[in-house]
Amino acid sequence: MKGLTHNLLACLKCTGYPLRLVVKEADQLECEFEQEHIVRLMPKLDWDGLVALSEDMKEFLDAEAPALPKERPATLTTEHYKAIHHLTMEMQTVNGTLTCSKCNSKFQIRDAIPNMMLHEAGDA
Amino acid sequence: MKDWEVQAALQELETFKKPKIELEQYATPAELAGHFLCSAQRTYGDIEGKMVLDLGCGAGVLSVAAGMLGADSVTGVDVDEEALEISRRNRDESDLEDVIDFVRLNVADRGEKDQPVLPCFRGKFDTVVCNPPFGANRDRQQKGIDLLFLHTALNMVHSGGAVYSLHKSSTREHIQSTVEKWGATGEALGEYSWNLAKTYKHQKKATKDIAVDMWRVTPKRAAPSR
Repeated sequence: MKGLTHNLLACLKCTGYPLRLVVKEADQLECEFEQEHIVRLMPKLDWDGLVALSEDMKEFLDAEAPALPKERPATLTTEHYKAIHHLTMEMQTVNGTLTCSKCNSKFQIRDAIPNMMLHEAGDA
Repeated sequence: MKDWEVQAALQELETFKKPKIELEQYATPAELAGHFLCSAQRTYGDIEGKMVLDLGCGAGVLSVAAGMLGADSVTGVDVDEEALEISRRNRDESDLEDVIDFVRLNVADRGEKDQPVLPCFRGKFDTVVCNPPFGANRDRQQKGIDLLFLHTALNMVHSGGAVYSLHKSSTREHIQSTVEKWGATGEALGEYSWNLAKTYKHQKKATKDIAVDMWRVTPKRAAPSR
């Protein structure tokens, strides 16, 4: 599950968002930074989702990658775009669990694919 | 990329070895997938630089085609774990790990509210590509499932986006009137004769020709012509 995919996913049962992530195994893709690509992506991304993901993946992110501010800045710099690129396009969860903070439904990620099947969603 | 280059590359992809009849699993033919999405890009610019959803990705043929044509990102979704494994291998063989990501889900799942949009997907895509089940297996497959996929697809694109979907030519009028009822605009771009080799044990003929329409559907009603 790439960071981009995490940003798109809400709870299947109650649409709670963002889903919190516990990572058991992560991976990093090497993906060339193209600012125009990230600029195109921005209108489709939820800032709160990005912040939540960066918190949940903190120990796996590049040490040099700048942290995302909690409030979306009025203007984004190249540094912001690079951080978002790293988080959405390069960071991948191979194994882990997505949890809805509202209803506590859990969705497993295995072999980099999140399982959003309703009848397989577990509870606490 | 030229049409034939895309088609030749798609021809190399892995397909279903043990297709599940209840899910109507057929890999989209390379020629059809290539032609369909090359047209989508050439005529409408709907693939390159776009955020694409492949609804019911199966073996991942449309996802790979979209990736090859320069999509910014492709999200492939399917209900079947084994199909997703094939999709993943096809993606990796095509060097598209940077572009394509997968989610396992059931398009028919509706959570707590009955709604035409997949509740687990926030945000909207630029383009949805779809080769839906046709509901051909009667009692085995939900009737109208191809329209369920199309309706869902329409709700997954933003107002300026487009859906590319394949449906049996015999349903053309029904789809046209249903799309209009939804307040959307649909155009059958062309017809394709799909030669299905005998896939399931119950089929008597060795091959079967099925005519499919390539649809482009957009969320808004077309402005009336003056």
